[in-house]
Amino acid sequence: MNYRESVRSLAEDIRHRTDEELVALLELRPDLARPQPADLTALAARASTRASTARAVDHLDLPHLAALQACAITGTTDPAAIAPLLGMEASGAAALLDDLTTAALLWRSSEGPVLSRTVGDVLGPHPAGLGPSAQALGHALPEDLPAAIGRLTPQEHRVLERIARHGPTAALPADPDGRAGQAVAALVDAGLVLAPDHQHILLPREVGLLVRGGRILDPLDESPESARTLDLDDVDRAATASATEVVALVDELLDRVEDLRPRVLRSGGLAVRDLRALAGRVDLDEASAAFLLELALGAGLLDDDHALEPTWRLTTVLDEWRSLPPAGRWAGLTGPWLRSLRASVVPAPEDGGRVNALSEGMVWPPVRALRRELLDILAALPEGTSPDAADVLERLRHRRPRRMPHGADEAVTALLKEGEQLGVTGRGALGSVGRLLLTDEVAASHLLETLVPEPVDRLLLQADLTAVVPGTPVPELAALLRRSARLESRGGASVHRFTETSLRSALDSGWSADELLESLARFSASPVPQPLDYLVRDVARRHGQLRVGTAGSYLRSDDSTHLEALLTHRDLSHLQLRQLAPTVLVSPVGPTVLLESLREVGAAPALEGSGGVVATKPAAPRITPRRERPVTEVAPEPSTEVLTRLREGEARAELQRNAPDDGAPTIPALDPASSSALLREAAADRLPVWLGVTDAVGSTRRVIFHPITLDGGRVIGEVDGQPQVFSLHRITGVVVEG
Amino acid sequence: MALDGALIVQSDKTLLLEVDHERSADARRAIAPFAELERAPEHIHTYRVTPLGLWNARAAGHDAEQVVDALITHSRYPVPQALLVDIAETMDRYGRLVLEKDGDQLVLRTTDRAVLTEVMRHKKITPLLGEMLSPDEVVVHPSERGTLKQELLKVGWPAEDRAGYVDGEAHPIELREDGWSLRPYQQQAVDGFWDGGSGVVVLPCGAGKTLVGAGAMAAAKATTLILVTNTVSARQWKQELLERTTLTEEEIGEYSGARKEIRPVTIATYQVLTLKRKGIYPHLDLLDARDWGLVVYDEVHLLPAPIFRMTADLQARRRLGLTATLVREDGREADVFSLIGPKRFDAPWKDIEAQGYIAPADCVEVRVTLSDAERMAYAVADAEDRYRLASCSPVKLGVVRTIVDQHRDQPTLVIGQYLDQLHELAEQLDADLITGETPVKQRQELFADFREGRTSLLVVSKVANFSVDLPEASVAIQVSGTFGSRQEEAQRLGRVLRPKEDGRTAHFYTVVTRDTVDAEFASHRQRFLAEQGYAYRILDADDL
Repeated sequence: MNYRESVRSLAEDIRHRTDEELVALLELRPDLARPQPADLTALAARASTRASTARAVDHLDLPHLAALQACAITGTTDPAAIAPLLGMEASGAAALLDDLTTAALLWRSSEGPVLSRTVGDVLGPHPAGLGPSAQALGHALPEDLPAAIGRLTPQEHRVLERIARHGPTAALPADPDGRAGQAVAALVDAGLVLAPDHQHILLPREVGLLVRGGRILDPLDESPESARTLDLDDVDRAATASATEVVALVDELLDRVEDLRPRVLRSGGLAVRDLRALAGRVDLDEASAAFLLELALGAGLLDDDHALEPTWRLTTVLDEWRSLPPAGRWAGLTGPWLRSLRASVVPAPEDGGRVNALSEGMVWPPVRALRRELLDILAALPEGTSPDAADVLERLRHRRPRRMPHGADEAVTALLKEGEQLGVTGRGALGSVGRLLLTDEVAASHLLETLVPEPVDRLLLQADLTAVVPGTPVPELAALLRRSARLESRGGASVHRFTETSLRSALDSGWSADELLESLARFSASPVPQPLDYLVRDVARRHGQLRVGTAGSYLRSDDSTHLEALLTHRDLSHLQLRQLAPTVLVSPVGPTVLLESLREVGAAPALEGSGGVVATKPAAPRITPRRERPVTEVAPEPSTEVLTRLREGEARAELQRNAPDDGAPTIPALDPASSSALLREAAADRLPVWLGVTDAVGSTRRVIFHPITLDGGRVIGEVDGQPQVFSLHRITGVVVEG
Repeated sequence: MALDGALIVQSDKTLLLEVDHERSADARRAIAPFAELERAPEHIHTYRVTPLGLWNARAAGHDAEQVVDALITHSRYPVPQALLVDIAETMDRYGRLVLEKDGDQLVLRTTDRAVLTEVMRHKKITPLLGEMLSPDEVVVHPSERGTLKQELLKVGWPAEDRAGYVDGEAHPIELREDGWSLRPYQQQAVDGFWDGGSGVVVLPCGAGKTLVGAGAMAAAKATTLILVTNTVSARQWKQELLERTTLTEEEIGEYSGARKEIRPVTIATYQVLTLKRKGIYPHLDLLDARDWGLVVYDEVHLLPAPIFRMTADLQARRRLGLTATLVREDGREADVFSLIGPKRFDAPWKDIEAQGYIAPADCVEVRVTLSDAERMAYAVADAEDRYRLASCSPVKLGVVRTIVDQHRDQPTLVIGQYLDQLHELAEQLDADLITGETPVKQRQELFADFREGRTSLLVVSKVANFSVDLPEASVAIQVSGTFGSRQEEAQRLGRVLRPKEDGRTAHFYTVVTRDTVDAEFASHRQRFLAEQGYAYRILDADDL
């Protein structure tokens, strides 16, 4: 690498980096390229802003963060010096430092890597929870520190360990004579802990480190004992069972939604009572039912109809979904789930209320990244490993120590359960389908298709009026049974019962007895049992025996006796039926009331259309789901292009820098954040800078300025020995002299 | 896992068994120890897995692994993991608490302190327990042995009772195996019961439950109290015991409404024990009349509620329950488990089949249509009169006549509820009528004639139909009568539907009025019979 004699700033380091290094930097810290900085100096300035640095540090995983903290603690960037703190070889530490340098969190001076000041600020006053050194505190530690710690009672040792883990400061126990109070007093007497004031205690760095075993990084247990290793076949089997189950459950639950037509709460969402009713009907707990409804909502199978009195309705997408094979249906649920910002468990609202299912309250943005990360964690484990929730949480913390959202532990448990319910995992381990899902959803669905049992087009009809489908029914069969029978039991197979009501509803939707029996016979291996045949024909015989018209609310029947019976029926007096002809009655009430009242007394009237034929009951109309607003993913510009432009800008700047002049450089335009970062650096290094300053009328002048401090949007310093204050927004650019 | 297994596991913990599957017999045998057969129509039989079933299996020495293995081996589709976990956890709850004798004391011991602590804090259980002997042992008041077991089961921690039994008053009883011997499965049932101490033996009808009882008595060689459902059954027991054991007429007493004999072996009816006068049970003393060494409960699934309460105090005596099914109408299976004991023996299905459990009976529902005038009357009738109107339709007369003619010379019973209708029927069919008002002597004569083939047709009322000496018939025609409980119906139909010695098919006709409440009751009957596996047809009266 072609370093100049002395590299004295991050800007210079960046200017000297190769294309590959710069591309790597831009990939690691994409915020640096948005918007594109004018040149590499501007890039460096932006990289050293607090906001960008904090972002970069937040995205570090635990080893890199610890390495950075170790640099801050030791004040060196010598791998050999920080390696013991990390509990690894120097080469490992060096690799970590190289990564951090690439990310421009360290910069390369001619003397070696340097921790940038902003990073120090971001890490805070107590990096890795370690306090200042005893020397800095002006405190004399016991001569033989390990021996002093060894002399502690177990209680004292526990207290010391607690402070070391959660330290370095702690509040003094309220009761100085309590067990903790006495322990703390003993620790202070032993000189292991300082009491800088009357409320706090402080643990010196040396003691903290010793208690923590001289390390600030605990290695991740690569094969924890809590994790079970399962046979991948078992995992796949369990996952496939769950996947089939979840598809069947959503299907059934939506049927129940159609029956119930739950209203949409004014605040959005589903009423708790409705959720309970739905869950009860499919024999699930509320949390699982809520999750399934969220899945359906995500897949667009269910939506708010936005009517005046809004209700939850099924959508047109549902019919399409139902016609898919099971694997396709599963993919239709899982894809949206993977990308959803909705969680099945959200942190409780501050007012202590409860978040309704399907409401906007279920949106919890961190969940998407979390879900993805969890699946990545599972995928990174050896095949068939089934870790427990605590282990997964630990791994998550390892991956993103500074980005654990509040309530992450509950979210992890909930997400693992979701994955299990969906069949992404089986018995806690990622299945083959789940693994593929991370990279290719379509391929995952195809793989699942080979695993799920072939849908069944066979029906077992029994004399107790039940039908059993020994497997997942093909869509056509499912539709037939949905319309003509009531689901009684679900699982590997489904048991359906034919009742008068269910058959009547089939006839209502336009089937004739013969059609129905023929369809049943087509799917059945054995002939239709006689009692079922009789029931269908009997219901059909009665169905339509009475015909009710909408036009004038009339009631007619070829059966005049029946009409007369109805006419004199005590329970129908409110209808004020009059006899028009031996075969026709009319009523002043609307046809719906008439129909209901007749059914209440046990009659089986049918609606008659204007053409004199029995009108069929139209299928419940579907509504169009609201189109989900697509989430715009900003595709980052290829870093190579950004770099090309940066190089051009840099070339121009270089030209200007090299132009012979009065020693005053060209001052590039910088954004205020970058300017303040450079000024802060210069103030700390006591270096003069060239400032471009715009005056009240808009003209820019250049001054040599000695910055002293930045405060409240202003920079205070000296120009020619005179105190001077500039507003940051007036500064067009900064070039550090030298 | 076999993708072609005979079993399908449902999420509501029912198991569907495909009957025609080539390995259905294996699957049936594998699940029988822990699942109860609920429905048995022609193609798919439904079994249910319940905590009680699992604990029964556990008490019989099966472990969770066997159960899980049975499900996985025979299931056609992958079994949901949650279900398997649930099964293992449920089974694991049995035996954490054990009732044992410690010297003179009865103690509850545990292998899991947390469980003992949990149950001891239960407010219904606390008063049943005495002082703690150690963190794992607590004294139990001997009188609360039964109640404690009931309460522990309610909170989901069934206790294993190893506290043993009193021997009771010895009395020599031997089986008299002259020309016959206990069948192997009967012997197994006796052994299973004896080793377990107390419990229930499940055997299908006709598999010789009485012999198992006799075998148990021979094993106990002690005075025995036998509780049976009714007098007929009491007489049958007596008969059987006289034939099969060394017991003599003088040693066996009958304690019923008619006689009150207390002898070394006493057969009492549930009815007399549960008779309540002025708020007390006057015949309860029978339970303490002798130092019984064995108490036998016949037809445990019909055990009336007061008997449970009495049984709670009998925990120190050996108890044998006999039944064909553990399923109870009132859902008190748990009390059978905790008070009588767990299932000790269950006959393999093969034997049940061999015993002709599914009788070759032909059930036919004949639907008649009301005349126009009757429909009018029905439509305007009050709700309480409707059933009578519908079921007493004169249209039924002609239909009954047709059926009777079709089965001429076969012993035929016409059963009904309404006397007016029955009188009319008897008159038209020229048959004798037996109702609750018929004098006993006359009734016995008529039944005797019928039994011996001198008459082939009788009209009986519902009341008479419950009488204990109703003879067997090969054709029954029910013209009216609501569908009561499943038990009641089963008992009534059982008389007719019993497999015939000459292999003839029995016929059961119900004449039902279409489109009325009569048809509604018929649909319950239809479902019940179809679920029991009987062939069931529906005919229009015109198609007869």
